Amino acid sequence: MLLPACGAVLMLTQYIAVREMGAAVFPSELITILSVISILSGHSLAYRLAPRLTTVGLTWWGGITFIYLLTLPISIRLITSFLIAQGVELGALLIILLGSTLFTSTFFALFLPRLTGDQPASFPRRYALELAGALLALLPAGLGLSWHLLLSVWFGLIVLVIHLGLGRPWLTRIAGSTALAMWLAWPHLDAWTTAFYCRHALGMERPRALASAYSPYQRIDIVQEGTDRALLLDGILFYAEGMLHRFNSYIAEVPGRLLAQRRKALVIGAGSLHATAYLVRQGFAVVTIDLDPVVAELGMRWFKEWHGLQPGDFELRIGDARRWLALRPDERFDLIVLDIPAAYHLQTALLYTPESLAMARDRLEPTGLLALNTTANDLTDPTGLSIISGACQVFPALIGVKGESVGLIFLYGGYQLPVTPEGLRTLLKQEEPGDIEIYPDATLRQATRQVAPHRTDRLVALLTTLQSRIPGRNP
Amino acid sequence: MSHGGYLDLYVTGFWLGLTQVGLGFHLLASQGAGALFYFATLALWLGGGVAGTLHRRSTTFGRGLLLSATVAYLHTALVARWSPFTGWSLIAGLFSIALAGAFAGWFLQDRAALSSSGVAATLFHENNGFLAGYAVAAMLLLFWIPALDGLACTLGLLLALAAPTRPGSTLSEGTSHHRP
Repeated sequence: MLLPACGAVLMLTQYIAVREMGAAVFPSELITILSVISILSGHSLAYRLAPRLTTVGLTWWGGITFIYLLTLPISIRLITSFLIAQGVELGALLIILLGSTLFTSTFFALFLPRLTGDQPASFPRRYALELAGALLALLPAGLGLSWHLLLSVWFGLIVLVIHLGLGRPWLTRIAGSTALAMWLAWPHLDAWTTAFYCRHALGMERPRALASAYSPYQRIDIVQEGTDRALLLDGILFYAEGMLHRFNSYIAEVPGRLLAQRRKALVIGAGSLHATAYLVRQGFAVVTIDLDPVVAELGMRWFKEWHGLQPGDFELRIGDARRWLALRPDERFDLIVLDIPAAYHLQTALLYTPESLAMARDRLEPTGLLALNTTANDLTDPTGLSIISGACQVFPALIGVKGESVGLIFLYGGYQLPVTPEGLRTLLKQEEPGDIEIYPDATLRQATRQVAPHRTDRLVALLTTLQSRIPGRNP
Repeated sequence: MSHGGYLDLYVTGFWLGLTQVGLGFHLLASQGAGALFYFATLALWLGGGVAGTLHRRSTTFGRGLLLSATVAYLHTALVARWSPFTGWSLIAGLFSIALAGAFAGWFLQDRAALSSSGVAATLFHENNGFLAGYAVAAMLLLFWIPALDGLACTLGLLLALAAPTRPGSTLSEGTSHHRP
C-alpha cells in the first residue's frame, strides 16, 4: 500500500504544486518549466539521500514536508504577493523553487529505493506499484473533481503515507486531525489569501474575493473592488474597468462596426464575455468558444450586469479553438475575434501562428475581418513584430490601430478592408479620449520585412514574451 | 558502477526527457490543448511504464522497444505537421507516448537488476539525465522545434546502435517515472 500511495501523492503533488506556483508568480511557460524541474529535482535528492537518511531524519523530513504541502494552497500566494509588494519578485520565485525541490516530492520518493535496498530483484514489482498509484491518481484529477475535493484526496493520501511510512500512530493522529482542520478551513483561507494577493501583488485597495475556481487549465478568481469587478486568470488581471474594458472595445466593438454585413461572428475566448456582448448588441449571431468551461460559466454568472447577456443570446462552445476550426471547414464568419491572453504559454502561442491565422482566415466571408491583439505597444516590440509578420503572410489586407487608452496595437485583417486609414481614425475619434495611431497595410509590411514570423516550428512570440517577463526583470 | 554505466544512465535519461517534452508538444500542436490529451499523455506514459517494468529482461526486446519508440517519435513529428487534427496524428502521438513509457519502464528495471551500486544510484543518475533532457528540450521548444526532433531521433538511434557494446549485455537504462 505504501508505494502506490507514494506514487499517487507524487502525481497529485506535481499537478497541484505546478498549478499553485503558476497562479502565484507570473504565469508563463517558463514558470511551468522551472516548477516541473524543481519538483523532479526532489526525486534526485531523494535517491541521493535514501541510503543515508536515518529514521529520525526521515521523520523530520516527513514532518516538514507535511506542513509545507498542507499549507501550499495558501502559502505560495501569500509569500509571493508579500515579496512582490516589496519588489522582490525574483526572490519569491527562488524561494518557491527551493521549497518545492526540498519539500514536494523528496519525502515520497525516498521509499522506493529504501524499501528495495539490497533486494534489486524486488524493484520491478515495487516500481510498478508506485507507477500504478500514480496512474490511479490521474482519476480524481482527470474526472474533474472540484479543487476542494481534490485537496481532500491529496491530504488523505499524504496522511496515509505518513502512517504507513513512519509507523507512528501518534504522528498519524496529529497529521490526520491537522489535515482535516486545514481542509475544512481552506475555503475561508483561500478567499482571504486571494484578497491579500490582490492587495499586495496587484495593488488593489479593498479587494473582496467573490468566487474562485480551478479548472484543468488555470485558477480563476472573480474579485470585487468597490463598484468594479475584475476577472483574474492565474493571478493575472484579464478583465477590469479601465484599460481592460477599453480592450474589449478595440478587439470586438470597433471591428464589428466596420462591417456592413453582420451575420455571424466567432469570438475565441470567453473571458468576461464583454467582447461577445458587444457583438450581440451589434446584431451578430455570435459563437463564442473557450477551452475552459469554468471561465465561461463564471463570466456568464458574475459579469451579467455588465455584459447583460442571457442564455441563448449567443452560442457557447467548449473546446480548443484550433481544433474546432479545423473540424469545421465549411463554417463562415463575418468577424473572428481573438480575445485571448498574450503568448505566455504554448497553447496560446499556437493561436498566434500563421498556421492558425490561416485556418481562421479560411473561415472568413470574402468581406470578413479578423481582429487580434498584437500585444505590442509599438512597432519596435519584437513580440508584436513577429505576430504581425506572420499575419502579413496570411492576410491580403491588414490595418493596425492603437488608442492611447489601451496602449496596444490591434490588427484587423481580411481579404479586403472595409475601411480606409482615415475612415478608421474618424470612427475612433468619437470614443477614444487619447491619441490614435493608425498603421496602414504598407507600414505594417515594411516594418516586418526582415522580421522572422512567429510560427509553430519557431515560437518567436513565446520566446520574446517570456524574455520580457522574467521575474524580477520586468514588473 | 563504472563511469560508462553512469553515462549510460544519464544519456538515456536525457533521451527520455527530450522525448517526453517533444511528444507532448506534438500532441498539443496537432490535437489542441484539451485537458483530455494531457491526461491521456500521462496515463499512457505511466501505463506503458508499468507494462515495461513488468516485462522480462531481454536484450532483443529492449533494443527493439527503443528503436520502435524512436521511429514512432519521428513518425509522430512528421504526421503532426502534415496531418494535424486527424485520427492518424492522434493515434501516432498516443502510440509513441506509450512506447516511450514502456521502454522507460523496461530499461529501468533491467538496469536496476544489473547495477552493483544499488537501485538508488541507478535512479539518481537516470533522473539527473531526465532533468537535463527536459530542460534542454524546453529550451529547444522556445527556439526551434525541429532541432528537438532531430536531437531526440538521432540520440535514440545512437543509443539503440550502441546497445550491444554496453556492459551488462542489455540496453541501457531509462525511466518510467511518473513525470508529466
